[in-house]
Amino acid sequence: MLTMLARLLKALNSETSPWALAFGLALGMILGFTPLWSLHNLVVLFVVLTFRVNLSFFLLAFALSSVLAFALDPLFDYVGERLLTAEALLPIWYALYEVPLARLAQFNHTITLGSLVVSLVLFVPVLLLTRWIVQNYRTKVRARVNQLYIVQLVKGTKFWGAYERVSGWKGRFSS
Amino acid sequence: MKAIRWPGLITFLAIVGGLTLFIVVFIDGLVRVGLSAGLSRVNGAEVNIASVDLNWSPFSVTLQELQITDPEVPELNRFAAEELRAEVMFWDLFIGRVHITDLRANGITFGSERAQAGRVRATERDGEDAMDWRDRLAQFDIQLPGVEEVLGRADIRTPALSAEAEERFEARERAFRRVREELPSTSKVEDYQKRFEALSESRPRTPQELNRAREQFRELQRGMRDDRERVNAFLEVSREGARGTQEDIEALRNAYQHDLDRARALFSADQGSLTELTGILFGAQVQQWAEYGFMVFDFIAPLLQSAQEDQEQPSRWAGRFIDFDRNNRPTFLVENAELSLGLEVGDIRMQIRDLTWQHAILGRPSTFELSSADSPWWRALRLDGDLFIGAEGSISGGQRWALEQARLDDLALVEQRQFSAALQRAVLNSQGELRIDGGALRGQGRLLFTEAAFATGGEASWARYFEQALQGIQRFDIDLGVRGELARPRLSLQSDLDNQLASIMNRMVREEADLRLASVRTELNETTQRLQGELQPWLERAQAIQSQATDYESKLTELLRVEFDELIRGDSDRLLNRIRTRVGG
Repeated sequence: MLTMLARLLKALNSETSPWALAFGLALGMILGFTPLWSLHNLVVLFVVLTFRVNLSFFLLAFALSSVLAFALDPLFDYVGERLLTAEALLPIWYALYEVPLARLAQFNHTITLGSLVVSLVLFVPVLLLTRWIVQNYRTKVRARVNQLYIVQLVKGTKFWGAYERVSGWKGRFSS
Repeated sequence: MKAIRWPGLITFLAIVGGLTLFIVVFIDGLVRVGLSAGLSRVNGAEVNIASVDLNWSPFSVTLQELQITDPEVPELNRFAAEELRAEVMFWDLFIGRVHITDLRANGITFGSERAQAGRVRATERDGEDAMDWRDRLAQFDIQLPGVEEVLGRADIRTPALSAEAEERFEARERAFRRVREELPSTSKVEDYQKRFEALSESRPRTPQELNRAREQFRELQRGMRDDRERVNAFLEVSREGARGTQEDIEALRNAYQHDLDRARALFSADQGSLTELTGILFGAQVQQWAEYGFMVFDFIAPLLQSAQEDQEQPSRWAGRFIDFDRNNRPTFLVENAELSLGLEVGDIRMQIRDLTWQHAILGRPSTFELSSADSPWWRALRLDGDLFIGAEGSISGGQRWALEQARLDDLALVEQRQFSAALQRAVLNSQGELRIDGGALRGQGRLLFTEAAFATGGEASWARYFEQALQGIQRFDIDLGVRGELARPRLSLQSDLDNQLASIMNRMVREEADLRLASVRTELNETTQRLQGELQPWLERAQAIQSQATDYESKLTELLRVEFDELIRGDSDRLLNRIRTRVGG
């Protein structure tokens, strides 16, 4: 847990691209909100592992979103139900119904579609917001934070040791 | 900075490959677990599958040793199959559609015993008020009481009454004997007469003679008065004693009759218990046959209904699949099912078409057909029917059956310590029809047994009545009525077997009861005859003596009515004649 937190701080304080962090958070949210064993999550995993997306932020977002999803499932069910029963969209659904790949994606399942649509709608705002926060943190907040007495105190703890170790890593996934 | 993270891509491929490998290796187990869980939810009780084999081309699922727990009797399987193979449209599975083109099941049994009781969802178990024929057997009792038991248990009055009457009689006799000893003798009464006559003829001439005569007259009157009082005392005791004895004799007669009636009632068999003999003998067996016969309605329909409810009312945390099929096919459909039922009488094949719960979408009902001819067990068996579950979940349909010349051998009917019965052989013909409308069952059928031979046994005292009664029955029929709700059919049996058995058993019971009643009658007779033998002669003798005493009393009263002056001074001849006429001298 400490190592995980240390990695997050490392990523936040490193030169890692704010986009990498933002994509990590947004994609983790998709994985967490939607049913795990869905076809689109294979795509998400492919993107996360193949492109330079921050894994720490991705895993954090996945964990938090999974917990949130338990509470939000009725909302996802409602959204999916409304979309799948909307008259205007019926031709699309009927067409997709004939496509094997769409069947694999289980697009006609209310929670699967509802959670995916909600995740996609939130994706861009979450992406932009995360990037903005990271940028502002690095330029305006980080220096002040480092000067805080509490931070100085933390630097003397076991946690800071873990952080230092992570900082020293030249791991290929950390950038 | 490179855009692609090659180690990451390799990791992704490794993960996908690992997942694929995992699925390929463990897919059978995963399907087994998934199917068990899904079927358990639909069934409302535990469903076990020993193993699952998947075949990819054509895609089919083969289940070995499928066991579906009966939610109402978790110790039994409501359905079990040794092997069940289903050819399924693969891609449809991903969109929540189960389309089975061909289903074959072998070794199907109903009501088989489980190795251990299956788990049941709490809501599935509720009060069961099904008829249990074994309870009826436990209640059945036509045991006749013994003579001592009747005399002891029943409200038999004669012996007690006899004892009381005897005691009272002894007291009366003592009193009677005492007052009788006081009675004047006949010679004494005659002596009074003679002295009276002598006095009237004495003709006293002197005052002295007159005084003497007066004195003699007074003395005579005193003696007669005393004796008349004794006679009156006797008469009073005697009359009271005779009346009491007469009443005792009457009471004894009444008690005797009452006791005989009471004993007769105790010895007679309970007529009510003789009206359910068919149920006791054939109830369990017919119920088992009915379970086979009503399999589609009793098992498949509720299962389909439950699956329908499950699909139409999904949890908001589980979501649901929405159908977009242009051909408007049901989301669950078994086009053709060939089932091999492993019944006691052998394997029977059954064909079901268009098995679904979405008949409104399909536009036609599910149909089922079972036909078997020239088997070792029967000449012909036909069963067919249809089943339609409406959009709102209501079930309707019908079923007909016809069984010709089925041979029954050593069919155990009742197997209990107190009583056992088996149909050693019989030929059974049966036909009937069952309708279901909106979940309500209504149907009737007839079972005609010919060339029947029974074997009975058991420790119950009435078992021998059955043995003797059943020996005389070779032909009988049973009318089967079906009523109630779909999930809880209620069977009623009516049969001329009841009448035949009841008639024979009543006769046998009556004959035996008459024998025992004769013993009771003899015993009561002995008591009453002995007492009456004492009372009646005494009564007659007492009445004779009473008559004599009455005579004495009237004679003495007449004599005492005569005044002295009338006797001495009046017309003595006239007076004497009058006295002679009155006292009969």
